[in-house]
Amino acid sequence: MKKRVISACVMASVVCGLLLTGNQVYGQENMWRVGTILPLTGPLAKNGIKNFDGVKIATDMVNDQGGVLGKKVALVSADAPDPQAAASEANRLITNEKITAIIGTQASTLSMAATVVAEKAKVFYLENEGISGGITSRGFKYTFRTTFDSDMMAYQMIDFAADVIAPKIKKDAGSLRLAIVQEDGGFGTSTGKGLTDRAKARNLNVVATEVYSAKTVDLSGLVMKLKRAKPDIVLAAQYINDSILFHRQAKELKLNTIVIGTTAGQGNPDFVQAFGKDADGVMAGGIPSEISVQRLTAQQKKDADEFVRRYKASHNGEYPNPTSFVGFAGAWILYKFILPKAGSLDPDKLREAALGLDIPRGKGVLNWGVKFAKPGEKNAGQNVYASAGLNQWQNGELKLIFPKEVASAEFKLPR
Amino acid sequence: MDPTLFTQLLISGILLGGIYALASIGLTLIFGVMKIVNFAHGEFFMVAMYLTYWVVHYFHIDPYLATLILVPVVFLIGIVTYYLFIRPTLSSSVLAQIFITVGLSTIIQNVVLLFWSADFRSISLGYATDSLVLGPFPALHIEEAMVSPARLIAFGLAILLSLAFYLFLKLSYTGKIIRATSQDRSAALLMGINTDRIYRLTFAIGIVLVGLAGGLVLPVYSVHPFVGFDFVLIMFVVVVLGGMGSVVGAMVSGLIIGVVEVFSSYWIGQENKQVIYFLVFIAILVVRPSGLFGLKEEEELEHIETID
Amino acid sequence: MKPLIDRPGSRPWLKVVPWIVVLALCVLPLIIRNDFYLDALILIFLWGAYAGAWNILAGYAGMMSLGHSAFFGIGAYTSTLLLLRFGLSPWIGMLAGGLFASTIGLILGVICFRLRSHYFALATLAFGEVGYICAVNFRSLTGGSEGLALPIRPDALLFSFAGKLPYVYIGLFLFLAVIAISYAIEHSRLGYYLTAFRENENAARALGVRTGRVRLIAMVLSSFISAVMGTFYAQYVVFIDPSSVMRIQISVQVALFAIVGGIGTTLGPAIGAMIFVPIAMLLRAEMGTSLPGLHMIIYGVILVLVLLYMPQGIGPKLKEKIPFLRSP
Repeated sequence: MKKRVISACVMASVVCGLLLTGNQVYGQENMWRVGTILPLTGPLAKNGIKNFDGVKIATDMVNDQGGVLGKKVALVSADAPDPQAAASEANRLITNEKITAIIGTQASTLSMAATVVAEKAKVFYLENEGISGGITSRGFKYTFRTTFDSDMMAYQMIDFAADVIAPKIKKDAGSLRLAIVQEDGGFGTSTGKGLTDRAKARNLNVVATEVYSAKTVDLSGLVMKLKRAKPDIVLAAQYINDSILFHRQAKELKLNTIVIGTTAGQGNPDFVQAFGKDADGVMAGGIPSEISVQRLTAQQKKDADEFVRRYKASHNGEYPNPTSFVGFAGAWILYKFILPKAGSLDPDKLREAALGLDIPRGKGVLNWGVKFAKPGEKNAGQNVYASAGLNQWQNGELKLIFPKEVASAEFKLPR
Repeated sequence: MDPTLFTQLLISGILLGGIYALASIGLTLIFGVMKIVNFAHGEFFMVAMYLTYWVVHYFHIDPYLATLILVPVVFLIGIVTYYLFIRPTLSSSVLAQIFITVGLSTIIQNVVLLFWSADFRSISLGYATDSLVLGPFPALHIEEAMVSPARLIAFGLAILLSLAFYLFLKLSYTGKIIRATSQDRSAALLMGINTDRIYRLTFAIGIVLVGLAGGLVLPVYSVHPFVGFDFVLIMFVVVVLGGMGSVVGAMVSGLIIGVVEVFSSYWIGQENKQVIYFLVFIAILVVRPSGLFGLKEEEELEHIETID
Repeated sequence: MKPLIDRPGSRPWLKVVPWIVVLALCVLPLIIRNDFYLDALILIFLWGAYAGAWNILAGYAGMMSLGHSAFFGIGAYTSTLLLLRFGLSPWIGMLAGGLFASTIGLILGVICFRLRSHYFALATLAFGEVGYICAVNFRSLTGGSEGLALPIRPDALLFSFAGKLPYVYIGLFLFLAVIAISYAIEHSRLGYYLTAFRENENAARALGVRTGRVRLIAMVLSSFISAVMGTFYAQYVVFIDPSSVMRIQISVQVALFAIVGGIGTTLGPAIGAMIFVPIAMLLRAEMGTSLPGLHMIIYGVILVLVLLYMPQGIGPKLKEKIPFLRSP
């Protein structure tokens, strides 16, 4: 009997807690209500939360500047740890919260599931980080991607290796020995495909391609294989956990090579936290690590500084995570370019406004421009003026070194 | 296979295996004595890593020292968990027990996520970052062999602790009681052994052992809320191979699995290595469920019969 | 004073109750007309039926599998690949997936039925992981972790619909079918054999029950239905990848629903899904973003409490507490 009373009490308190802490925001009638779907729990939580931080800061900033067309923005957020949850939450936002514009989803597999729901319901969906080619190759009408796709990133990594690094190590592109290392998740698979395709198209010599699970706790076999293959440059599509493991074991087994990773792995602040000085020289392709200022207007420069300031204020002085940059960029494009032009959150108007945009490179956000591929074109909905960058750890800071026009530092050959 | 490569892979495998061994002993102990399959075992590994990380982070002491200092804390966590989650289910079905530990694992992961965020945290050993290079040994045709100090220390301490625990089980009075309870609970009860106390002690020791493993690997692996899951499946493989409940078995099979993993990842590819050890796992279960060192007769009576 | 023994047939109106419930379930979707709640209904039916399939093997035969995600995934991948590669309708792909899964189930059964309780659970856990790794690594066939996107042209012949209502009714049909199958098993010779085996194997064998064969039948049925549910999932979500149809958490979750609902009972798995699917959805919706992880903590606590205080499951507990449920 006592037990039952206890369990009843606990159940009751859970229900009460539920009712009290629900995240309904009241008084949103006169606000732009924008949905977000990001993984905030589960194994993808790390980047999902950082991305959400970027979206939140963009929203706060725009609200502090007086909102969009005089109305403030309210975020209605959802947690999507796996694809089925992403679909379910998209459904909830659209049906129950009456959301007509959604920002998401950080990981490609989540995006693939959530965008289907949005497309069926004819709801505007802005993908801000998922980079798999599949997201825009399905010909969806309401799905737009503000960031680059995996091919754009992979091509740039290969081109940088062949065009910039090769001369520095006194080799021509033909004799360069490349190795590709990819984790077997959606991210590694699509990036690895892009790397392989580009290397083949440019007739480069790939001496090893290694696939592994990001959940593995040992990569010594892989490192030894690479050591035998003697690559000049390793191109690595990895997440943060496995990139730390990979570099640790490469160091243990004295694999000396130049590594170009990605911002999902090597470019993460946790990477430098793990390696300190030893991180210097490691490169990370993908999200530009800085909002470099050369081409920006005064106002844009101020916004960029403001973003970094706010991020640091809420993260113990830490410099923004690359993921937070794209989260910010996606939301910023919606608030500053699409929404003002559409004048309403009606999906068709948003869509038209998005398709009508043509903001040259450097004048958008993150040095990107904004121009979405039209329906019928290849990768409809892809922001063709988004570009990946290459970053390098230099003295503990992630510096943007490529493309040249926006770079804030010179490439330094790792020791 | 050329000797240099062979030696290097062997060294890497053995060093890895030592960690597997220590982490698995706790699991096999809890299973052997209490007959509970603890799916939350990896989470205790993760929690211990975090605790060690925070101690190192705030007090700037050596991680190995921190690991030892934290033993009482981890022991206490084990006791509390036992009273809250394990003791009430001792008489329940196998299913209820397994899924209580599944629920426990969900709770621990997300509590950690809530308080310590999903960031990946790591430390490095200031005094031992560069690998020791051994060789060349011309007589053996070995050019060089590299040994990571952090892994070597973890391995050495793991083997030392495992042996110490083994001796404790074999020689001490408490150890004998634990083994007696493991062999026959009712008989132990009849002999006047307080099995509840022994269960509590066993569970806490099991958690301490996995906690020690967690602390020792902190200089090698980074910690995040879901790291336990990466290790727990391997722990199950090790425990089954060694024979559920066999401490020596867990030690030996930890080393075997470590070596097999490294060699198979070199030969058949990193992405397929798991298939190999899961197939080995199923094969062992089917052919010899008592594992390499399990009590064969007893287990067979209880668990096996042929299909007609 | 309650009578000590409920006399069957003393309350004939009870026979009508199940039909009323079925009728209510049929009418319910028409009244709801809200996509979110319809989505919840579909997921309840999906998980309820899948948990029912798991229960046929684990509940009646006592063989607790933790690798049922493999069958679910085989169903999802078989029908999807047949559709994408050969344009074969998923209605047929569903059966093909079911047959494929039950063949694999049969092989697994022959190999692993020697094992008992924990040992069988761990062997199937490894089997499920092998399935996951295969789905990830056969990239040329399965697309690896990038997953497979299904076309979304509504076409009834291709098991694809614009609205949610058809999915609700297909889900409901499968859900009721699994309950009916479970009921039939429970009240058939097969069910008695299985129960006899589960309760006391040696006695069952002594009485001439061919315990190996009856368990294989349970395995075949269970894996077939699991695969059918996999196809249903693929057609409903129209995107599959190894981590959404093959990973270990799916096996754990399906077992969980059956266990909290009441393992080895006809309605237990359905009850488990009906209670826990909405709880998970509600928690995620209400507090998914207030503090990361909080909703999962509460979910875990509820789960542990149920298992601690009702180790037999919610269904049997209800039966015990509410007298009129007891007699039919």
